[in-house]
Amino acid sequence: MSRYQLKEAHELVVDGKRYLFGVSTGAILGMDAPAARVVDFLKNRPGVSVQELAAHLESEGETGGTQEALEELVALEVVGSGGAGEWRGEGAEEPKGKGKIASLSACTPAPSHPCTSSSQPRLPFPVRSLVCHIARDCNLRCAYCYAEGGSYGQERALMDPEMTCRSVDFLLRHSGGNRRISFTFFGGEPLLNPQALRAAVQYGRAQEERWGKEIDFSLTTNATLLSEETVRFLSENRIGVTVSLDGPAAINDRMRTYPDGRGSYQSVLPQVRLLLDHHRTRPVAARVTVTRGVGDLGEIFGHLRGLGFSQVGFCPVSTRDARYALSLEDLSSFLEQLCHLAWRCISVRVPEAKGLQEPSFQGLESLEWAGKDLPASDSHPTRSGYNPEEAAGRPLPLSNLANLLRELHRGERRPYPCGAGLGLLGVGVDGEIYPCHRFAGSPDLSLGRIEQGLDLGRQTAFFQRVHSTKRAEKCLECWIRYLCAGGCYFESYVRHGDPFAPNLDYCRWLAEWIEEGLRLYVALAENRPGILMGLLED
Amino acid sequence: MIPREWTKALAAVATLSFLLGLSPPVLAAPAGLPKNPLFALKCGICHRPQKDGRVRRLESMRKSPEGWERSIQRMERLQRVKLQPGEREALVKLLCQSLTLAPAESRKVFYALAGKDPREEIPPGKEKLKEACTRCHSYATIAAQRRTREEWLKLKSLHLSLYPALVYQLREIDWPMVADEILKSLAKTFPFETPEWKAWKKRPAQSSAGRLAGSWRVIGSQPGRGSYVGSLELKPSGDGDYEVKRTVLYEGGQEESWTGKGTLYGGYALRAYFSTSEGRTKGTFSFFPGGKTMEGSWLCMDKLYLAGDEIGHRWGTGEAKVLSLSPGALKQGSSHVHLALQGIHLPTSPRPADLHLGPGIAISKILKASPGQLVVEVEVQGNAPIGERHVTVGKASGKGILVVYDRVDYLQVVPEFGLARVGGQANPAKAEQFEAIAYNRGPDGTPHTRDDLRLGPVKAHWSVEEYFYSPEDRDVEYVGKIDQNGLFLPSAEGPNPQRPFKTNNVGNVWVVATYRPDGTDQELKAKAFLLVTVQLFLQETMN
Amino acid sequence: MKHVKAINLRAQALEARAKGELPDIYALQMQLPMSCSTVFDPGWEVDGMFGLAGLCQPMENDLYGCSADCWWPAQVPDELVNYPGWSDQCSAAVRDWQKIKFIQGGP
Repeated sequence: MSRYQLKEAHELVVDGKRYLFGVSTGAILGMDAPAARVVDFLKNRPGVSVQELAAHLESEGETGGTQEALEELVALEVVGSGGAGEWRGEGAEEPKGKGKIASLSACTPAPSHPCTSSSQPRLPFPVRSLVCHIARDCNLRCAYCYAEGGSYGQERALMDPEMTCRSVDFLLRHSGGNRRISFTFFGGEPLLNPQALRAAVQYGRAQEERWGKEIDFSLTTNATLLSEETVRFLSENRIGVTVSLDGPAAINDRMRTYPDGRGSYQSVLPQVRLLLDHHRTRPVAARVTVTRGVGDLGEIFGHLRGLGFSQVGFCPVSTRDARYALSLEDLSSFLEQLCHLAWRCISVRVPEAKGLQEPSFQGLESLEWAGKDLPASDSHPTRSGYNPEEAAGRPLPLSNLANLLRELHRGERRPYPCGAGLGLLGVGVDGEIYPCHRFAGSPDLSLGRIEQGLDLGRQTAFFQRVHSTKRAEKCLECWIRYLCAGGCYFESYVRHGDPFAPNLDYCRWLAEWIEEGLRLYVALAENRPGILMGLLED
Repeated sequence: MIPREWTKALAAVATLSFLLGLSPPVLAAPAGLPKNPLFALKCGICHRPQKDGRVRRLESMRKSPEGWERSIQRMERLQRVKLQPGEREALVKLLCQSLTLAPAESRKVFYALAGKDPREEIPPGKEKLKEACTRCHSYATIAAQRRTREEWLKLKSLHLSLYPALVYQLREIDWPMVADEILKSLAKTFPFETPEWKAWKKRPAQSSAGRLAGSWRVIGSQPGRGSYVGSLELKPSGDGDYEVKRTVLYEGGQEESWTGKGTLYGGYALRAYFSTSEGRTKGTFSFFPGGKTMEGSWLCMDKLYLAGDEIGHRWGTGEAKVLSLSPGALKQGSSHVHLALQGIHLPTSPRPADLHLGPGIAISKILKASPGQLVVEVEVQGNAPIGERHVTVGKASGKGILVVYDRVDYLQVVPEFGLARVGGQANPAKAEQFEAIAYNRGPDGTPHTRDDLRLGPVKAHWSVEEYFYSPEDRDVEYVGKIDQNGLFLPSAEGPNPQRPFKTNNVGNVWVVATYRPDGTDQELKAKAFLLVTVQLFLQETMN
Repeated sequence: MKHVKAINLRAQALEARAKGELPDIYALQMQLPMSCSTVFDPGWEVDGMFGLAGLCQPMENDLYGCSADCWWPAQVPDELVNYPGWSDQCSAAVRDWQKIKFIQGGP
């Protein structure tokens, strides 16, 4: 006789309807009343038989569709079924994709975590992204910089252009079956080393055809050193550009300064305009570092959008320094403002979505962001060619939200927080390979060298630490564990001196942000699926 | 080489035949597949000749004897072809009369035909092959075939029907698409018609009729046991078959004598099977055009680590040559050294003045002289310049077979990348034989450069060390043992209850050789990587 | 489905599977492939770095899974066409591995 048990799921109500997010499956499901009744009865009751369920619902006078709803819940892996006395743990086994229907007996007496599985990643793992430090130096001295003025605590240096080409070669050789691969120029300030940039792009473009691959080059820069010629090169070579800029002068210049303490905004502005006007082949994004006090995200967002950036992303500062780090109050203010912005971005596209908004978000009617708070300039009021109307068909301007919606749509489940050490690798100026670019200059975490390739022993050891760490235990009760998988290694490293420690500081923040994303996703999927698909396009 | 006069005569006959509309069956091997009752009976039902007598599909491809053998085995397995003992060899022989590789083509894949581990490099620019082909079979499997473009393209369907799971197995690539692309390029790299083949198939028909009969001087070496010299006697036993007698004497003094049956394919490829005290042993020999020299390799099929490589020169016809020296390396300042020169057609009563071993080496006595071997006593001066020597004895000479050195500078363990397989119970184990080779830094004074002098194998002390793959790595305790002759014997197959997760006795370790050269305190050390992997379940290609 | 609505891609893949349709395998997988290695050379059952860490241990655990659709197409006899019944004598490889036949050349 089969017995049923509810699997781990996170519940939410949107617009009066009930939804479930399957913790280990990543599936988002809507329930009607009979399905909801079955779920409610199964809560906190391990091993219920159909008879018990039917008897209960009958006593409540509700029988219609019970059996059917139960079967559907089993099929969608919300409810597990098993023979009496044969409760089996879910374990780490994943369906192997043989086209067979996996056994539905997998109930969950003990929760599982993606990282507690004993299976290590199969190495070598094909690399998809390489982030390359072509300069271990910077012309700015942003107060909060985790790279200590671009130097990563080491002697200032530029990467030899030959080494940069070798890094491109490394990516081509180690990318396995990946046909689209990405190479990011990072620093420090990468434009301090334009020779390496040019050499690598030319080399990469020449090699693409031979390997049958496509390299997506991108660059993260503070924009201070952009010239007309550089912008032309970036545009001609379809190089994606992200500019680090924190907002209007008053906000930006508090942190982003030259070594002499002078703010960088005024000198950056003309170059940013040059870039936005003349880089025609790829959208240009801005990346904002959020620091203590947070500030008005709406103002920052509006300002940067007004300048013409097609996407703006917010990222909390990585530091333990109390002068810059976000306090608990800051975190909640950051979250509230970010959610706020997210709903506004959606309501620009979907006026109906306003009806679905939480009460706290009502009253935010202003849909026009572009142009507001823009510093006076005669020649460039806004990015030429940028048209808010046209933007309706474009990806979401808030990159944090765009990424989240995409993950929820796919129902991503991750064994690791990110691809660091696997599909993503960082390369230091000297050719040393790190789990990601943020670890450059931490020799104890080196994974090999560009010339010699990855040191499999070190790579294995890295993932052994990931698997054996306590971070997994703390995550076992959390419903977002398959999306977060323990959080950024570097954040843990900065906060706790150990990349493998759990990132508890952000847990609540992240869960609430994901919950908000779920509501937005469900609201859109249920009401305007067409628009949702448009937003998800890359 | 065919004598010049012959070539002229052949050309004349060919021209004449052409003018008269005749084919020259007596003088040249048949261009395609000759008519044959066995073929008609066993193969002809499906491979039915067309009106012109041609069997188009088969006549659009060329394979090594091993390749045809494998195809016929497949026909036996899947198409229920029933063959009596000896019939498979007869069919392979028939197919190889012309539909095989030309000797020059065969040479490039000789290692694979001889059953060696395919430790091969994929040619640059052919990385796609690695993705789509050589994860399942060796590159030599491809390079040992020639096909028309049409036949190359058919290989895609052949793979999909014989190994339907491969699309799944190689799912990270679009195999059918990649296969199309690769096959098109292979059709250009390995076309059916090549200049080598066109030249070779014009060979005179006599070339297969006992042409190789006689006695051959053989010089070779077996890793772990050392070099040997001896003879290979080939006695024709009808229709291109030979009785083969092989007698060799190892440098340690042991003699081995094997007899067996050999079959000659395509007039140059001899495959012989011997029953030896160690088990069934296959000899793979390839005779060079002209029939005066050959290269060979042998492998004990019951003990795969017993193997050797050799070269052969035919007695009676060729020029005089010095082939090897024992010892092959002389230390400065050594005296009363007995040096054996192995060769062929050597002068039988030479005077010391007829021998030249280069500056600083004086020949004091001639101890023995025969057409195959000359033993002399030499004195090596303390200041004899180090380097390679050109050796001459009368008209006979040999290059790069003698070196003079002052000291052993470093060791190298070969193979640098060893492979062993657990086994011995339900599946065969595969042991690995290592050798420690001594080197001198060479005339430029810098070790690990091109002019370094190989001094030959030395008797080293052997051990196995952990190759740390993870902090808890303890493979050394499980994978097997190495003996003091450098032979690594792997442990048994199957899950090992003593290991975490009942892991098999597999692993990767370093094989370490240490050696102290005579008269020094300095211990030299070198290591090689050894992978001990899972057992074999299938051995299709060797029989 | 009548009572439960599959909203995102993952839920739709689960629904397709329940209906017996062939779901998008990628939609059911973890995002980082944790499956077997397919990288090896002839008879070299190694992962791409010539090691064994990437492989299943003991290999008998996964022998049949890997021989059908994973990383052992060449070295393990193909049971679909060439050697049907290769593993018939042995249903549990970890226990009865001695019963698995070794195939030596020939027809």
